[in-house]
Formats: sequence, structure tokens, C-alpha cells
Amino acid sequence: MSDVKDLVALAASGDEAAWAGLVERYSRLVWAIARSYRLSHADAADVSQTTWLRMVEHLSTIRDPSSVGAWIATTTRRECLQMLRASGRVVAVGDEESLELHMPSAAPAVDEHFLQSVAIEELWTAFSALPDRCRTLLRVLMVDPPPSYDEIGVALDMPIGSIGPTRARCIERLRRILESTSIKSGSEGSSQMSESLGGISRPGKDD
Amino acid sequence: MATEDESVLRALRQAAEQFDPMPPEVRDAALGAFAWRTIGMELAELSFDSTQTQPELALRSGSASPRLLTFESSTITVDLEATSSQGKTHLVGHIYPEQPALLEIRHRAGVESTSADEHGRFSLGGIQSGPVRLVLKCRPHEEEQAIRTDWIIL
Repeated sequence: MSDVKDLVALAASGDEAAWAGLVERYSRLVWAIARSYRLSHADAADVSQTTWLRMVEHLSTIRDPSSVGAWIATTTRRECLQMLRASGRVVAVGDEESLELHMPSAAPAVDEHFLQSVAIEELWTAFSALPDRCRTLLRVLMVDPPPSYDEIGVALDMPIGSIGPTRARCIERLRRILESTSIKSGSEGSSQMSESLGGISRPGKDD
Repeated sequence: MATEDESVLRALRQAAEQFDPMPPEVRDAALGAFAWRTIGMELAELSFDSTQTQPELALRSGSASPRLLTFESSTITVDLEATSSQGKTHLVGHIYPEQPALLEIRHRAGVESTSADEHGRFSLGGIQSGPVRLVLKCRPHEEEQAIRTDWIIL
């Protein structure tokens, strides 16, 4: 994969393939950030479009091209906050607790395609049952390629030092939700999921 | 990161691709943004947005309160009043210093053209909600100049 710095330089000089490379690299991150702010499909699409339109204009003026991911993440966050403000969901900027209180707890959209794997569906259901803060962080982490801590930090206004520990806590909570689901249903699907997740139940762990 | 955590994240990424994928039209719009490159155009930046300074106005239902926006470049200022209802927006604008201008309003569904009179006033309706930008062609200092505004979401 081309160095991001090179893609930015080429795109700034009019190379459309380089632009496509940047879109390929970061478009899912923009989408994930918008969805982590609980924006609807339509609002997330608008945020995405505006972010990329701003990106085009700032191609040649980006001060540090190798950190363009962080620039994109910051711009996306700003557009999300603007969208939330404009639609009346007033948010205290920079105050993450406030942000959670005012965001609607809408469930993420379910893909209409036929579900190929029940295990994945269970995972998604468990993810949807996580507390807001965990859903927000994990949604942004659910991007390929995974974002850097810098990018996550500016996207969600989180101190970089808190990202790792929060992620670990949230994944642990996800495991516990899956465990309690499998205890209730006793389904085969859950044990499938167990295996593919590297073993949910940890022998000897107190609960 | 623990390898079990990494495999959970891998499975979550799969789940996101299945249950909350980026729609193809969102990617297409991102790719298409490249065509809106404007090399060398003077930029009129958003210097005022009533929804930022008075968010409580946005809480009133209906289209009673227009949204007020101001864009400023080094040569001109554009005041806009945007009134939205049912997914469409009506814009009333004023250019300072007062002067005639040709305007293009670029929005999601395409481009609309209009012109400002000798007092710099213009209006345009039926603009589709979403990202919007104005391009003005005027003569602030006798030479024709193309000026673009920041993108905003109506």
C-alpha cells in the first residue's frame, strides 16, 4: 500500500487514482465515526460527503501529510457535532459524558442481506447491548484498516492513554454479554462463537 | 493487545461489514468529491452560523426561524438566510460590498445558477438538503474573480 504521504501529494497534484487510494484507506473510518455518533444513514452520508469535499480543498494545505488520517478524523468529528447541533441534539463540546446523555440509543442498522452466519449476528446483538461509551469506541475500532490511536483520540475526543484500557474493558464486557446469552439459550451457535473468539470462558476467572 | 482481544476485534470488523457497511453510494460520493477541486479560487470562509451560536433556535419545530450564515473572503462578504422545509431550502443572499455577481449553488443534485442584482442581492429556492457551496463570479476590484464558499450542510 502506498505511503499515505505520497497519496496526499499525488492527489494534490490532480492524480485521481491517488485520491481513490485515500478514499479506499479512510472512507470506512469516516463512516464508522459518523455511526459511532449515532447519526442516521442519511446524516452519516452527509457528514461523509462534506468531510471528503473539505479534504479535496485542503489537499495542498495539509501541514503534515503523513497524519492526514488524524485530519480526516478531526474533520469528521467536527461535522458530526455540527450535525447533532443543527438537528437540535445539543451537545457540550469536549465533554464526553454529556455527549452520551444526549445521543439517541438507536440500534445500528441491520443489513438486509440474508445472514450468512448466526454467530456473527449474535456478536452484533451483543455489541448493540453494550453501554454507549463502549459502543462508540468499538464502532470506530471496527474498521479495516484499524485506525491509529491518534485518529481515535481526535475522532472521539478521548485521551490517547485511555484508549487501550477502555478497549480492553469494553471487549471484556462484550464477552460477558455473550457468555450470559449462551448460558440462557444454551445454543450451539454460541459455542461456535466461543471457539472463534479464542475461548470466552476463562478457567479459574472469578466472576 | 491480548490475542483473544484481537480476534474479538477481527470478528467485530466482520460484523460491522455485514450489519453496518458503508453504502456504496457513500464511497462513490467520496470518489466524486475529487471533481470539485477548485484550484486557485479565493475561499470565502464561514464566519458566522446561527445554529452554532444559538442552538436553541434549532429546537423550534417547523421552518419559522431561518438559519443565518456569513461567509467572508479577503474581498467580499456574503450573508445568507436559509429557510428549510420538507427537505428543500430557500436561500436569500446579500453580497458586500454591494455588486452584481453570477452565482452557482452546487448541491447534491447538481448545480443551480442565479445572479445577484446591482445591490448584491439574490435568492434561490428548491435547493436539496445536504452539502452545499456557492461559487460567485464578480468584480470586487474590477478584475473578474471566482470566489467559492466553504461547504455547509443545509
